[in-house]
Amino acid sequence: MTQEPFYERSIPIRGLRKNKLNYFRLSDEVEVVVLELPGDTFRVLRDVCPHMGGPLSQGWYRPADKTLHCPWHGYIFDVESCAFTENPNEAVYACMRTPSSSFKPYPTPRYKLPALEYERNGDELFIRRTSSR
Amino acid sequence: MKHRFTVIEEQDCTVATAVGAFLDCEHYTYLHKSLIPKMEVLRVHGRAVTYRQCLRFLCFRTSQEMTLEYLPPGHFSTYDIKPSSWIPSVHHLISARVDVDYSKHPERDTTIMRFDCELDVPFLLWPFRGLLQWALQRMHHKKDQEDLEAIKRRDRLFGRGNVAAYLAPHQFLLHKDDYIAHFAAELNHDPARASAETSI
Repeated sequence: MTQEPFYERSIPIRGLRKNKLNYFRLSDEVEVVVLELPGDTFRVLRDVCPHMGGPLSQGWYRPADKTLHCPWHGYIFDVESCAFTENPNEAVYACMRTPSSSFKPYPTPRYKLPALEYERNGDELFIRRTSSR
Repeated sequence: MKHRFTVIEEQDCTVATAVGAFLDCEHYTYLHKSLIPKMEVLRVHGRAVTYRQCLRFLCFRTSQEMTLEYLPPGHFSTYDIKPSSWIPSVHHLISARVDVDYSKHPERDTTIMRFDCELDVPFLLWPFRGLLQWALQRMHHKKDQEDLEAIKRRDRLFGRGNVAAYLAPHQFLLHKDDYIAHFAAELNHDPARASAETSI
């Protein structure tokens, strides 16, 4: 039986708070965070930090530099490219971050925010299912 | 005058997960920001790390220095807690030592957490030892609940007891070599293979 390509639940654009993280539950297993970006575009992310699974919706978004900060470890991601940009704890623990048999700080991990594709239909966003769900 | 109390709780997670979460120092000022908004490493001596931290205690915001020592596999001692400046704080009057121990439940795949606290309270504050105990227990319980909710979420997302994120070669943990030495067999962890598998 083929599955619908989009999640049944859509996201109403009019209800989105500007410059804030908007949380939605698309299904029992999939929760998303939606951000309105300049140019009438949107960023839809699975509500799971790629570092250790933290709920991105409980983090904070800085519109000035379009960065999303994870609430669990403060890791910083660029919302436009979805790339991991900074671990603010590196400075705090700099004196202890010595390479060892179990710790290899370089190269820096290439975490990426889990972005989902969407299509806009009027005032609603329909989120494309990923291959695993 | 010494006041001692102990709290023993069963936590629904594996010991490796509980200890890994404690050693995952990068979350201290983020997941627990309502309790510990700020932290700074002052000295490292073996398995003991001396911090200066800003702490929210009762309705006060206080600054303290403390040393946290890890005794593998699952014991943590916090001692030498003292004020970090001349500004009057509760630490000028009371000294404390806290020991937290994680061990496996004898019958189930869960963790027994034992919290031992010893307060040295001056005579004039002795009648308030119950309030101090209540405040410390409340603070510790809140921190524990925040950690356990995070553990529960990760169990749901990645499977119970999955600490692969802690073991990744690029992930910083306090005393990581000791953690892996004690839990590697239990976790089927091979550092050489992990390094090869996660190389970018």
